[in-house]
Amino acid sequence: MMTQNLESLVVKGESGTFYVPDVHFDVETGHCLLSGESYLENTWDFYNNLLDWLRSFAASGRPIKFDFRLKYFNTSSSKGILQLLEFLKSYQEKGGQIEIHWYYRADDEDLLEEAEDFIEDTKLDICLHPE
Amino acid sequence: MQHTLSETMIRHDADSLVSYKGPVDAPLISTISQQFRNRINRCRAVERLCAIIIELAQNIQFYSAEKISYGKGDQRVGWIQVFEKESKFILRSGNAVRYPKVNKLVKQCELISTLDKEGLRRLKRSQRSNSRNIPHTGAGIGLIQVALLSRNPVDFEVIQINEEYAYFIFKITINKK
Repeated sequence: MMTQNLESLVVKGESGTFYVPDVHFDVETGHCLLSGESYLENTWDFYNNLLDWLRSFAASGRPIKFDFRLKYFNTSSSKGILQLLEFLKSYQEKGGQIEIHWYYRADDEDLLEEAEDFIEDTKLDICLHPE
Repeated sequence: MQHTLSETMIRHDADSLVSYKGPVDAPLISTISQQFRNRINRCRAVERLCAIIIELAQNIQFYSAEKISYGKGDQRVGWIQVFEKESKFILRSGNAVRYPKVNKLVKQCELISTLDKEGLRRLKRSQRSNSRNIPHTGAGIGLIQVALLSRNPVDFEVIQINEEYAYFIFKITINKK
């Protein structure tokens, strides 16, 4: 199996000069969680790192469940998020099983609209969960 | 370079919460937005204000044509002011821009000002999609996002400095309710 040497990807979120989101991509279950806030010093490298992990995991053909629990992200991060979603879409099109959930505060119209725009861009079935 | 709010707070009038002119770097952006996030009741209007501050400040940080040199390299210069009125926040930011870019920026601002919310969302999706495989760049949608978050037209003004440069000023209004 291609995931034999792959380890879970864990990034501890931070809030300082930049906002680093919490990342927990579990290699055992295929459950991926991206939460917190995203405004990064090097957005490209950060999201490419997540993408690389997904590519490696996807080589196994196993299902991926992706939960987004972001409270804020800047426009550069939204590009990174779109890249993750587009990868999941391509995985689905190749027969991979995916499940995507977008959690947001019920009074946060902006985050709801972000999700709606991602759905429109990717035509993915993203489950929306107001909290 | 560490910035503290005491260095950056220059009150020009009673309504001014922040008034800063100088190099704009990541620690400064963080200092300004954190003070709002921590100090004022964090309602949706304040959250939108913070998000807009980050987008406009990054615009200065990456694109201002005015630079100063420190030991570690150049930093780009601009200014940011935030005012609070009874029913709204007003954010003004400005930076120098070179003339070919001024015309392009004016066209973009004029386009943005003609669009309703759905039009802005369509434009944002289109531009983000077009930039997605270009590494190490922003999404090119910062100004569109500012218009969406503010829920008000983005006012802008161009003041010519000389034949090569102009000052580009944005005025953003964020209603509290």
